[in-house]
Amino acid sequence: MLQLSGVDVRYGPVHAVHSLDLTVHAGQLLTILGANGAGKSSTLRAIAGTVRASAGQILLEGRRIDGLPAERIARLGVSLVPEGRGILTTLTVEENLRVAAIGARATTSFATRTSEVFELFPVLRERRRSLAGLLSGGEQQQLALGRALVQHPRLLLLDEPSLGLAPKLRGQVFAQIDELRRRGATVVLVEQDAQGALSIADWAVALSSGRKVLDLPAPEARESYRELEIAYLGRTAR
Amino acid sequence: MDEVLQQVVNAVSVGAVYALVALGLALVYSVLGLINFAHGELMTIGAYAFVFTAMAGVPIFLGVPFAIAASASSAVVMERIAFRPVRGAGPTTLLLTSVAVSVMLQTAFQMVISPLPRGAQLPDVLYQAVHLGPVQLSVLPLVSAVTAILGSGIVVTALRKSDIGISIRAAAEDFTVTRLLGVPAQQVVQWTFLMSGAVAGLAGVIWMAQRGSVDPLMGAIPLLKAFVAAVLGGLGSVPGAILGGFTLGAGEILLQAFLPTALLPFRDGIVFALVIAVLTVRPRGLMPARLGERV
Repeated sequence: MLQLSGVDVRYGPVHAVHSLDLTVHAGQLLTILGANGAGKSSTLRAIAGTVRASAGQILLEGRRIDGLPAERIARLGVSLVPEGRGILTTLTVEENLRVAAIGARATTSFATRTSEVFELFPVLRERRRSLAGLLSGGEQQQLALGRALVQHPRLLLLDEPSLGLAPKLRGQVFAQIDELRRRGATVVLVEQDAQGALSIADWAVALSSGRKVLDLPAPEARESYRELEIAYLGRTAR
Repeated sequence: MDEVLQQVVNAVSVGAVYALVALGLALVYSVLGLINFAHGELMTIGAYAFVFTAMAGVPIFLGVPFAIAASASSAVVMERIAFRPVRGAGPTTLLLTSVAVSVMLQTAFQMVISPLPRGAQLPDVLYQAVHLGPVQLSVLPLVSAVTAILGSGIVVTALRKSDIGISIRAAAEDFTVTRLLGVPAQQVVQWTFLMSGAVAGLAGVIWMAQRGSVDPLMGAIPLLKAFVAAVLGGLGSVPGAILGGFTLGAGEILLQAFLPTALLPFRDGIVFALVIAVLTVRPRGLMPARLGERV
């Protein structure tokens, strides 16, 4: 479904991602783990087209997408929920969903799509007319996911969806992502909360200083979690 | 009674036109961070388009849409030629580019058309007075106010309800996120200029009707007033621009009515001093915009 080969991302002199190879199969949930600054977000941005890969190729279902403008990639069915969620705070909840629908290939009506979203995230139905900026952090996270869901994406890219949420809400977010995957979405999940991410992932990749240091099925990563944490996630042994 | 009501109509009329021009400025600024100083020339283009069609015998109900279309398409062309190459540049570059476009257009009007004012024969009814019960009101300020409010209302409704309008508001808050959602950036920018140009065209016709003629520098004064109105209201905020326009118009008419004759020449100076006083208390304007990321 998605294939990266030899992808480099640079910000001026900073080399954020080094020659990264990555394969995501249809229906899979792949999680990218790593410490701060490991190149996780840069990888997602390169796929979504908000930064250019300075080398390498990115293929979506066999078609090269690196070099395309971000809005074209989005229209090919790639939805990125960016770090910080990218909620349009001066628009209402419903308008946020509508912008997402405007930007997507429409196959079903907006009403059908929103009712699907409201079924999964009932709180959004209640607050559909409020300004998105007035939602709580957890509600905004649901809106960010809902907005991606409206687009019926072929590939869903999630950048730190649990960031800034209370532990209880984090569990809810992971359950919702799991639900999206069960409905057939292909997901690339970048997370600081490695344990949470591994609990729902099929496959795990770890980055360190922009290089891939680990690439294995999620159950194996769960088994060797302590070693993984100390070796790659920048955490000290307790 | 007549006098007071007429002053109210005048205030609303002047304010509505300022609001209309300021709205056009605010639209483009909110999306691109560009203060388009050539917006006044878009008004001039609309006014010329109206005058020339009127001279050719085209009736007013066709002349006005033609003027709006002329300004709107000019705005799109202006974006393509002048502003797209400097998209994403710093505010100074954008500002100077728009000033350059403004000066070039003013010079072009002088060379190609004429430095002298051109007038159009408007229907006599506009210069008469209507009797509403016991009061008597001039028609032109009334028609100006209604038209300008209608024009602003259409744009505001489009911004609230239409796909394009919602995309423009999304882009005004955060262009990157809007593109990530698949909304084509270029299309949003073009529509923004189209709408901004359309309101400039309408405002140009009204402005021309009020002073009776159009000349190459016609756009300068309303642009200045609208810029002040937009800053007063909160630069980049569309509701702020409208509020600022009406506030500025009301302030001018009030001072016009109540200032001693000796001070009348200083009216604009006094108005601007009051605006500065407001801005010292509310530096981001009456209804500040939430500034998002730019292209």
